[in-house]
Amino acid sequence: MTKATLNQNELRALRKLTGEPDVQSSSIQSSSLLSSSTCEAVSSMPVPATPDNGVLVKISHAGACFTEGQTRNKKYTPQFPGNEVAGTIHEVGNNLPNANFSVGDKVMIMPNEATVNTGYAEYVPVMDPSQVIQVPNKVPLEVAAMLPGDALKAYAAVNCAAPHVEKLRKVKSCVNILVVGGSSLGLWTVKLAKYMMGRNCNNVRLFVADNSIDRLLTAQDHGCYDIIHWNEEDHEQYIVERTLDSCRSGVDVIIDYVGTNRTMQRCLKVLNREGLILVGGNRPCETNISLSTLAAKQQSIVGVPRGNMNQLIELINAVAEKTLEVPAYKVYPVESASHVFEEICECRITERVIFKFGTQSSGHLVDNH
Amino acid sequence: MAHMATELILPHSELRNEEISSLLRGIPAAFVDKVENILRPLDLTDERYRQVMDLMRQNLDAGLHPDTHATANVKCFPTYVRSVPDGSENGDFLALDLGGTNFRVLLINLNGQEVTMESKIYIIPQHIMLGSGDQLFDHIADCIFKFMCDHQLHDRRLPLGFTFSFPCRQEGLDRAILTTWTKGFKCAGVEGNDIVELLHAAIDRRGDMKNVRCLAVINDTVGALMSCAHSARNCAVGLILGTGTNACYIEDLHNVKTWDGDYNEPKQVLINTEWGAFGNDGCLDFILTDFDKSIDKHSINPGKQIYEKMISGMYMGEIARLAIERLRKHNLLFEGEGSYHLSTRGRFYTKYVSEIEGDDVDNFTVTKQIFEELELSTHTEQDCRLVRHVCSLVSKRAAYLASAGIACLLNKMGRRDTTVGVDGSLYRFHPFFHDLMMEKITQLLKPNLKFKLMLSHDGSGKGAALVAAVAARLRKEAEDAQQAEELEKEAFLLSKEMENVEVDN
Repeated sequence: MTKATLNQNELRALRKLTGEPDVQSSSIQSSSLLSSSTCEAVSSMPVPATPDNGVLVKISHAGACFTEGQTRNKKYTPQFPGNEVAGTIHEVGNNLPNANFSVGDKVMIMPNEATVNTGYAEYVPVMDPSQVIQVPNKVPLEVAAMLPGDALKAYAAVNCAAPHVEKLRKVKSCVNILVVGGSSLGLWTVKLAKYMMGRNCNNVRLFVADNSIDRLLTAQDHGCYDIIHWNEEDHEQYIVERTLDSCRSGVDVIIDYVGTNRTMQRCLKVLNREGLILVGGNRPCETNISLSTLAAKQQSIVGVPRGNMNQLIELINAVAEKTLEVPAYKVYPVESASHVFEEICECRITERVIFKFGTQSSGHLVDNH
Repeated sequence: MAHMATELILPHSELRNEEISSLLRGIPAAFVDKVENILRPLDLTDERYRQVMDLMRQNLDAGLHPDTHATANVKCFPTYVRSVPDGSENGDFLALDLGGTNFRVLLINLNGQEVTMESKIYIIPQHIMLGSGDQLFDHIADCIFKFMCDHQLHDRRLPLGFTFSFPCRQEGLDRAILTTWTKGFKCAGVEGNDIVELLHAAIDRRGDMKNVRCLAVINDTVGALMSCAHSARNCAVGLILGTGTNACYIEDLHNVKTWDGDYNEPKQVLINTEWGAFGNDGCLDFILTDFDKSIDKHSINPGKQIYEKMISGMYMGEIARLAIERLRKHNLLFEGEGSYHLSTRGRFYTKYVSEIEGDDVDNFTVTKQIFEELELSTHTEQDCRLVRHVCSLVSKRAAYLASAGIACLLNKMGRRDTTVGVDGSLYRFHPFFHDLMMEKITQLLKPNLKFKLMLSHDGSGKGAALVAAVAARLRKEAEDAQQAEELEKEAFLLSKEMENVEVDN
């Protein structure tokens, strides 16, 4: 069993990741990166044992995952390895027939709540080999990494909304879909909507709303019909008016990836009769909904379902065949994680960020601009 | 306790009196005194507002006189708009509205009292707000082009009105020189230049919009006035209470000593006061609080727009935040525990002031939600009441200061019955702003004068169209007059020739 040793850069990055911030309540500086709960910086990490019935994956790329801060001083909490992991097979379990996997195969891992935030690691043991999916050679690992996370969630949302959209398209001259949240989930939604509708999409309009103008301009580049600035400083009524102004005949389907009390209330005010809201935020939030209004207007509110394996396989094939366009992304070495998370939170980076592991030798960054 | 209640009671409605006393119910006197000491500077006496009104009058007069105009703070720029709409404005018009990060293009149809509008908002990215003037106007021209495509307007010749809400010196209805950028804009090569010329240059650079010509530039206050006057003929004041504050009013030509135009009828002109700059010379220092001074010091334009900084939405939240923070640091709020958000400049949004004051006083649901958003985990019902009290002091001062300005204009004009057209998020969304202003203006107004405050809907769009309509009509009248003159001359020459011919014969 070989020991994995970390070089100085990786060590420094990990130490930064585990450090607690030194923030007084009067401080105006934003906090430095915080550790995930079990992250430990060690001078050398042993390679984990390969599960007998599973595989050991060596991570090459992981999408930058984090949850927005909930407590007084945290702005965001990074998650490692996160739910967007791709790499190569390092070792196959003794009980597995070698025909399924070979060492060196390119694979991506289906996200699993138990392993999403276990801390920084270079190797991920996967107990159940069915959770590991082969990546076709034509798809680079940095792209494959994105698919099990935001792409899959967006695909699940779009699939959930699709029957409703089709039903409305038959009776309405124009169906308006509003995506709240212009980060990578929103960008994937725009691309996936296009993929699913194909050429037949002129009576469906996709709008993206976000607090950040930079993210909105990126969303516009990805081909949505229009962008709406939901500026948190503006009065709620003004935001609602602006939304209705852009979406002329009201909104029929809303996918809210932000999910705060405020976004939900705005959604409820712009939703048409028989409208559908899909809720996909990840922060704890409570809101008041008038049940009688919901009933009177025959509206529905649904949680975005978890994506399944079949959908993930569909995605990787569509990407391989180039029928699905991939949103803009940028690859950064994982040592720069601290700095990069800051940039993402300040909306200085609006594309999806993917960390590359083990970049000590190769120094170049990859992106698809 | 009783003396505390009377000092903070508003005379304007029984409901508010009850609210104030309930806000302070059950609080120990020592605590109340400490709170009172910190917040007293925000609570001005009636006499102070009267002084502000009188000072405003002096400043208006200075702006209207050529000897003092250059150094005056309240510039009182003539707008070259001579009259309110007369109902004859009909047809289709294009309008542009630039006042902040959003740029709107509108297609407006006027048909008597009916107005229909279609519009689209285009975002102005940061790098264009801070880039070159040419870039800005190229972007604007591009947005106009896109809009005309969407609405199939390319083969039509439509008069265009431009609502440009930045301080300008106008030299004609279609000639406005930007004096200074505000609201975060900083495009090089625009200050000191005519923005209509810059727009036309950008349009000409493209070469594909030959039918688009800007006939009139107006300010958002003029838009508010014109739009309101469309339905209320006696509207004579336009007021903006939004991110910034400004007012325009109808002045008799003989009072505008800086006037350089003609003296035909009507002998009046709309004056853009640019009253935000009132107090730049220190004349309002007697009412400035520490909070105001701190805001001014940290603003991008220290020493400027003093009156505006005490009233408008851009700063109102911050004034409240500074007062709240001071109370907290004295352990009078949240048991002294703050949060990263509460200590961040600009984070207490002005909309919170409206939302908190509109909250229900039995449950404080919205107030508590806002505390959660600000990550203030320790809060009691007393904290809710005290924060609401701070917000009401700040908004009341803003409303009363604006009222002093309006009362000054109304008293100056001396019209028996005037409507004031108001637009802006502060006026539209704050639960008590209208009532507070009605009360204060009434108190400061000369006894025989009457007034109304009316929300002016979409002045920037409708107003620009109306002024463009007037400009188009004036242009047509001028063209017709010129044509008539030429025909007369020809006829005269012809008749002369005929005379000569007759004589020869």
